[in-house]
Amino acid sequence: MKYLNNRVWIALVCMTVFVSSCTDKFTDLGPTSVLAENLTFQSMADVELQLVGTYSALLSGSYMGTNMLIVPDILADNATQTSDNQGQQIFYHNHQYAANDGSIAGTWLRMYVAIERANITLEEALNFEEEFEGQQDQIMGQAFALRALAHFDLLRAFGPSFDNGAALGVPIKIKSREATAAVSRATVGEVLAQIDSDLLEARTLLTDNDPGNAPYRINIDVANALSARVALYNEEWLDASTFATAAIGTRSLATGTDFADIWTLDDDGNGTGGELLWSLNYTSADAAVGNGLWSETSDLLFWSPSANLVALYDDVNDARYSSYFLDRPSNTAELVDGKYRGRAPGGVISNFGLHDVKMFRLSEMYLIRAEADFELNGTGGTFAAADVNAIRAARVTGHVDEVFASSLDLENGIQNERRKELAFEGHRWFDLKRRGESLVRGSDCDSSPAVNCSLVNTDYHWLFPIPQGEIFASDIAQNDNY
Amino acid sequence: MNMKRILLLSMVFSFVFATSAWAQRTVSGKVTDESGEGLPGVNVVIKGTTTGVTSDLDGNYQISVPDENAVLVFSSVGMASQEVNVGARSVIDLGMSFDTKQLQEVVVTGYGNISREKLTGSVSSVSSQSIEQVPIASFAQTLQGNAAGVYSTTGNGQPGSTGKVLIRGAHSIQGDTDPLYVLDGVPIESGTFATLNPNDFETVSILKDAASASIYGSRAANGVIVITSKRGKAGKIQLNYRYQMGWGLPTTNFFDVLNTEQKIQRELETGQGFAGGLASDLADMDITQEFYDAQIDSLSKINNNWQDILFRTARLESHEINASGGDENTRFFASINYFNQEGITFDSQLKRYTLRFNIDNEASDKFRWGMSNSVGFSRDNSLISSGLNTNNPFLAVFLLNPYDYLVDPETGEFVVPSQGRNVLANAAQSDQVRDEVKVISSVYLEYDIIENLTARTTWGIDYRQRKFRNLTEPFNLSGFGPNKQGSLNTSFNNRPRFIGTNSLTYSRSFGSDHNASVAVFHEVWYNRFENFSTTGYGLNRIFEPNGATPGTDANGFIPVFSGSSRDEGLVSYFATGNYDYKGKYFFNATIRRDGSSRFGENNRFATFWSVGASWLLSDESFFNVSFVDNLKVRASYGTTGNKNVGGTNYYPALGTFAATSSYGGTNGYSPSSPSNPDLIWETTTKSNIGFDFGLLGGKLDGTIELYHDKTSDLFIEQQLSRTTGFTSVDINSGEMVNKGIEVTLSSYVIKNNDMFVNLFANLSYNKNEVTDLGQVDEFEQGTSIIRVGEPLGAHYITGYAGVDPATGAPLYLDTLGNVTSQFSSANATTGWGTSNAPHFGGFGTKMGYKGFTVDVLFSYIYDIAIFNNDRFFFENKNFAGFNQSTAVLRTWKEPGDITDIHSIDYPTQFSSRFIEDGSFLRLRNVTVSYALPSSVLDKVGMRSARVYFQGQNLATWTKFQGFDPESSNNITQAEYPNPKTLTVGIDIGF
Repeated sequence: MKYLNNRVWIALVCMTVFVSSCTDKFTDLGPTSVLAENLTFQSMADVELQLVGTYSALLSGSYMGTNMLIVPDILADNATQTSDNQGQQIFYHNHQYAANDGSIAGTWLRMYVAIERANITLEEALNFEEEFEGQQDQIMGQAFALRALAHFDLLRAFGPSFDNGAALGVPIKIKSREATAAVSRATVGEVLAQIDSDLLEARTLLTDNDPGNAPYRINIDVANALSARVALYNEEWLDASTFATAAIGTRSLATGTDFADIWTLDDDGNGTGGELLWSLNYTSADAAVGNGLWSETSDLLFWSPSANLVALYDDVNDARYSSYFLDRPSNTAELVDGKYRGRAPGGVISNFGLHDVKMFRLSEMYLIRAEADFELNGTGGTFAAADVNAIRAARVTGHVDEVFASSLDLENGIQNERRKELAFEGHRWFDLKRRGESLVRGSDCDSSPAVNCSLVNTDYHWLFPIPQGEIFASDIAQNDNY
Repeated sequence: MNMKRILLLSMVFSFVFATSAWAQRTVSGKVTDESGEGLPGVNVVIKGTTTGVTSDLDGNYQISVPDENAVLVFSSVGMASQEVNVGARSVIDLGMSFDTKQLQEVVVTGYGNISREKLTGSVSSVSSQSIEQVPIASFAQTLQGNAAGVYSTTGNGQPGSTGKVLIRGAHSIQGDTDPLYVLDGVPIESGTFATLNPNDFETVSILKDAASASIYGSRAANGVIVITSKRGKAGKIQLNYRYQMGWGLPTTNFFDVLNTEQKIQRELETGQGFAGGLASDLADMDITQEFYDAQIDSLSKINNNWQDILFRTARLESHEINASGGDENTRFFASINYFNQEGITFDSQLKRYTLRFNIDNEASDKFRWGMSNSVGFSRDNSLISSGLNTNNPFLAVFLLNPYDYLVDPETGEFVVPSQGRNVLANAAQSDQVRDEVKVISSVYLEYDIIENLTARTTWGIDYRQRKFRNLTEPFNLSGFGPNKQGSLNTSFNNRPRFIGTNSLTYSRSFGSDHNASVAVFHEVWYNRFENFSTTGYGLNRIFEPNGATPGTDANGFIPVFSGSSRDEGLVSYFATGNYDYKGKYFFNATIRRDGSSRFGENNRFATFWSVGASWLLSDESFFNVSFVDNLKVRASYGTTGNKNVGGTNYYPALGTFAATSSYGGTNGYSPSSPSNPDLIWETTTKSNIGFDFGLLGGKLDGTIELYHDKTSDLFIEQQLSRTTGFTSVDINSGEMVNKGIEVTLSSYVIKNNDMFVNLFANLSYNKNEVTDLGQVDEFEQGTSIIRVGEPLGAHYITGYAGVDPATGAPLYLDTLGNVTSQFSSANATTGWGTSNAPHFGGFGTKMGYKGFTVDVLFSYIYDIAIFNNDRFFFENKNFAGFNQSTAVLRTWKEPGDITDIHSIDYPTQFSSRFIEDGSFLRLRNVTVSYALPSSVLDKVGMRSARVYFQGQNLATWTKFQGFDPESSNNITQAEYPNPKTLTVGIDIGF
């Protein structure tokens, strides 16, 4: 190589130095707008943020924003289709959903997204030092409750009623970041056992570890309230009554303007001692809530409250009537749902559809205790009649306690009060389903095409289909008849 | 290529010499053509250098040469190049002849230039003449019909938009299918050509096979388009001024819509719309007969033609000044261009300002450097809405009822029509403006270390910046924004890309028979994208960000901001070797090792390679076929890659968490993409066989190519159990094949000094087939399907079998092809064609007589099927509130009616009824020009002058019933159709 002159050597050396110096700079690049998985968690503060992300999963329209908030009422008998409706949620109303339905697939996915995020929270919380005493318990307590909630919601939407313990429920997920693990549907009993176990953890960890920020976070009261709801669905009447009583504690039902403010203001700080056990904290950055019923900004009314729902209220004396319903501004002959118009500080709506979704209200605890007490003791119990009357006393001006003459009167009284109190909060469909009642809509049922103004309790549509994409990927069993 | 020489003549370039006083020795002479006429514009270059001059109008040249060993190379487009030893002579006259061998053409391949004779790969060249002054803002659209194997559709009539460009078909399902574009050695972003001046382009080479493209490694699977910009030529400074103005018109293949009388009738039949509502009110006795009659009567007095109201004659104007010149050591090219094109509807316009400055310098006999710079700014006003939205004028023009008003004729105020939105109000009360800055700049330095060994380094930048302004004014008719107080969204993004390439090239001849060269390269490339966006609400009279009201929870005007960034890098080592023996046998090989930040550590590097060989059969002594002037056979084989999984995920192998899952004003974490550390490149193995031939003394030149491209390790979204929180993960699986044949022909029917007639054609056939999808056999994608054994873009839908004349019921096909009256989407089948056309190409003629030239280009796409989604609305009784196509007049009404449109008693379903043949033949461009003779020019002191008339998209022949068959989509969505553009222009040279 002697004949290569100096210039060649210099050039080669320069190039070699240059070439070898920069390779890694160009290939070892990582994301900047998102976090690399292995770098995400560095302290307990990051785990707390993962918990925040878990709460965030509930806000979606596929979960509490629409599908578990107003769709259960559209599926049942609380909503009537209007002439403006160009297809919004009609397939739910007519029970025409199939395995390829995108909206139901969204619900399924979103609930498992919540579970995945809760699982990550639970696993990562074990890896870091606490920044203050009880932090780990507080984080994990909330995460266990969120995981229980999502499994419960999956089970009541996609599974049969809970008394079919051996029937197929939904897959249980208690480990995160397992892309390739085999998936199968657990039985209803197994899912319930998992939910009960998670709720026991939640109640244990959250006792003496209140995360604060009520009513936007899950605390021990919420853990009890969720336990009461699960027990009600599972017809564990004694548990339902006990947990409901624990959740009620020393709280009292909202009355007067306090009750009206629940629907027109944000719920910040509204949860201590009052009506609200847990609200989801929506901000202007989140999608509008409830405009699947009525879009005030475009003045499109898709669903009116059904006539037989409206008829249950005393339109003069019942505070719920004026809070829940309103005459459509552009056509006062039509009644619209008024719960989700948006926050209106000073009486002026500042952001249409911005609303804190109520996850657990105190009145539901009263109604759970009433129903459980009725099931346990018939008309002879301590709570059944008293709790129904307590709610009416709080809502209706000039209320006089009703004395329920028969067992049937009391049962109807509880159920009607439940329908009235919790209308458009995502309960009606599931209440009919868990009680094994058939759906019979009123005479204003005029869906187009006019089908399914009723649905017998044995119909397969009471269970949502398992989404096609899930079956495709994991080959789990479909619900019957889909 | 001979026509180019005539064109050069017709453009009457003239040159006057500026000789350098310090030249060592001067050689002069005259270059003449076959008839003895002086030949202007011939490049005379000293071999082995870039020192050169150009012959003047009369063919005279004068050049300084270092010594008697110098060799002069005479070259001119369309003429056969010649080399002459200077020796002791001081006068060298030379007769040049038309190049009957197209093989002499120099092909730019990006990392080097090679004569077509030596090429082993498959490269199409598009002449700058096919691109210059075409009244289309985006250069990629001008490729349509101009090169074999290149499928280019505009898809959108918005000035400056870029359609789909595929080279030899789509090579990916989920990943990018765009070719790699390289301008002056800088890979430039695909699809953003609105701020580049195509007049600056000198050569466009399309690299299609492994031997030519594999050197681009992991970005070459979709082919490479290599562009060089114009460089200066030594000699007196040439100054050119170009002006063009024109008018754009809507193309005419639109649907016929109902007039008011027909529309009222339709509404009464269907019970929909305004008249339908009135009739129902009358039946319910909510209104009186008098009121009803008066209302119907007042409606029937209005009959608007929305096409006249919503469309306009679009103006086009452009100015350009360019200059080039220099001396033997330093040459430059500079240009400035202004281009302004309106769209055929309101609020649609592109204004562009571009500058270019290129310089080349020989600092010494060993050291050369140069620079290429393009700076541009464009402002693009675009439609507020596109797609299936009544604010889209191309949908509104059909859906608006003929009896509606958008502007109250009495008050002059906007009113809401009976159906849909007020497209005029929306356009007047909103703005959508995009400002784009684009800078492409590169520098090269080249140094001859020793004889035969050259080092070169090239550094370049491709910078693109965009600012968007989307305004909705307060109290707009659509009521947008909190409290209807409007909104202003301002967003900004920039995309700097850097490239550096270093190389060492050693080339040497051994004896007279062996020529070899070897080059080694190192390259780094970096690509970054950043954006941010803010939206303010509560605007008063100031429509700028500072006009937004500070937000509070109470007023609902809380501004929204967002932003992101991402980057990627590529490090490459590669080498290429060429060897030829006796000028008849050519071999080349390339190898490239690419490392990309996109992939996991274990899969970061991959190697791509190619081999190619060609044989100049006609130069063999045994080859003796009298009518064959030349014949060459080529073959190549090798691999290319695709690293772009598609979308904005630059880290597809990496699991990531987003920090934007907010709850109550706190941003929380959540998994945002699942990881797949095993993800690797898509690899396309390309094989190519080509034949180049010249017959009958230049009467017929042509190329025939056969190719087979197999893409393996396709990026596929593998479905995940939703219990993971994800729906899918990107994996590599499956195979797809593109194979085809390309024929390029050119024939000079007449060619003499006064006149030439050239006919040309390029015909392409590409057969795409998905051969394997790994985990599954098919993916449904709405009305199309990706299925093993079918091509990409295969339509998948239930067959429509017409109308039962007895009942008016629609008839459908089941999966077995049996006619049934039951519609089921589960009966969807394939066999309705594909939206990726297998046949496409162009043909035309170039004719010249004295100063006149006529250029005609036709382009065609054949055997394409498009789902006409627009007709689904225009013929569907559920949408009878809106205006409809006159096709509904054929609706079945009584037993015995034989028609294709079923009774209104049955719902309209997505079926094969709406799948149409989208084949078309388009008279793409006609240019008629006249170049003034030099006798006239001399008197007025001009070097050249040319006037021309041009028509773009003058006529279209198609059976397609939609807006424009030249759609980039498988399904129409009221796309902005391409305009028909007529222009007049003038080019003047001094």
